[in-house]
Amino acid sequence: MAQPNTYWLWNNTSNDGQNTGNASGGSGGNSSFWVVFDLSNDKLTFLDDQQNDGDSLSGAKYPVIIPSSGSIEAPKTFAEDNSAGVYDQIPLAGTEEGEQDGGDTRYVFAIYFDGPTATVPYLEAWDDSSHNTAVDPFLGNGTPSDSTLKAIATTNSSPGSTSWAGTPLCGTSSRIELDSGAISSAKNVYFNIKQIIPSTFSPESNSNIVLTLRYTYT
Amino acid sequence: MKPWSLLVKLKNGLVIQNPDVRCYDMDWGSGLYSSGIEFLRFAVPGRIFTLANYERYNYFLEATQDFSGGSRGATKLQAIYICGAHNGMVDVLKVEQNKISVFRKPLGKEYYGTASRGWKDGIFGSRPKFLKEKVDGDLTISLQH
Repeated sequence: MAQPNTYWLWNNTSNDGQNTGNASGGSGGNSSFWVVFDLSNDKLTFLDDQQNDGDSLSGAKYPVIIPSSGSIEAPKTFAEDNSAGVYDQIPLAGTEEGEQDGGDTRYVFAIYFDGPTATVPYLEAWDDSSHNTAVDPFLGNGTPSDSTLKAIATTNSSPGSTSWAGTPLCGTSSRIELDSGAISSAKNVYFNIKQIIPSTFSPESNSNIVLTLRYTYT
Repeated sequence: MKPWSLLVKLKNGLVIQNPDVRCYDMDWGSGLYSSGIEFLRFAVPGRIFTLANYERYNYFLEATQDFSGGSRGATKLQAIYICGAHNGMVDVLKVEQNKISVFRKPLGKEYYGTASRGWKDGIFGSRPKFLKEKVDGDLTISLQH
């Protein structure tokens, strides 16, 4: 088997349906619509309720407001679509605790593999693309269970709960398997992701965290 | 053998040699290896590893792809795995940037506690051999080519 090509996509509708367009995205199952991420220029961003779908990237950006007590799920999730110049909302992301249509949702983010892998693929988060450390405040400040990013694989089923907990993402210490085993032929794997900000959170101004897909091939 | 080359000797006498596994396909998924593997030999800077007499062999590469802004997007080779399985256990040779490790795991748990696919039959009858020989030359282990 050769190294597979991989494509990351988001569903920018409130319709929970499969990415039937695979590497190209586009119209999918159940009237969903899938957009291919430009991994170099697009970003995944968790923002406040004040941010709206279609807002210009050159306009105001509303970060999540740190609560005075307890914790909050980031109200909205967006793809910063660099080529379109807009915040493109991902309404199905997260849980019912957010301010969009998250919950027991399955087809939110996809990674399409155009070929098989030798082992199960993983989704991880790191401080940067060196993958040497995962201690950024967003990733738990050295405590993986405190990572603000929680993800859940939905390749084979929906989360099973509208308030799913997810797995904190932090290096290889805490990550998710995107399927039940190695991928045997071209397919989409799916996941959902949310950000939980506690009242004790103190961000760094120069955070540069990355989401990382780790996979093997022969 | 030059560093990063992988040589596989088959029962039918065929010898398959990849000059640099970091950039060339080993065609591991094809039927080339169906006659059974007698031994395989993998060279890294300063060392040559030989695995022989195992029941089964596996070989795979690990890559990562980053997302969310900046200069991400490109896939990056992270490690090379060469495995020999015998009696329900797997001897794993893992080569990463500036690091070589050898460890043993139960079969089906050889990759971070999970199973790999793509195993090829070996030719065994005596105890497996996992040999390391030192060779002259630069010892820098770099997965970038």
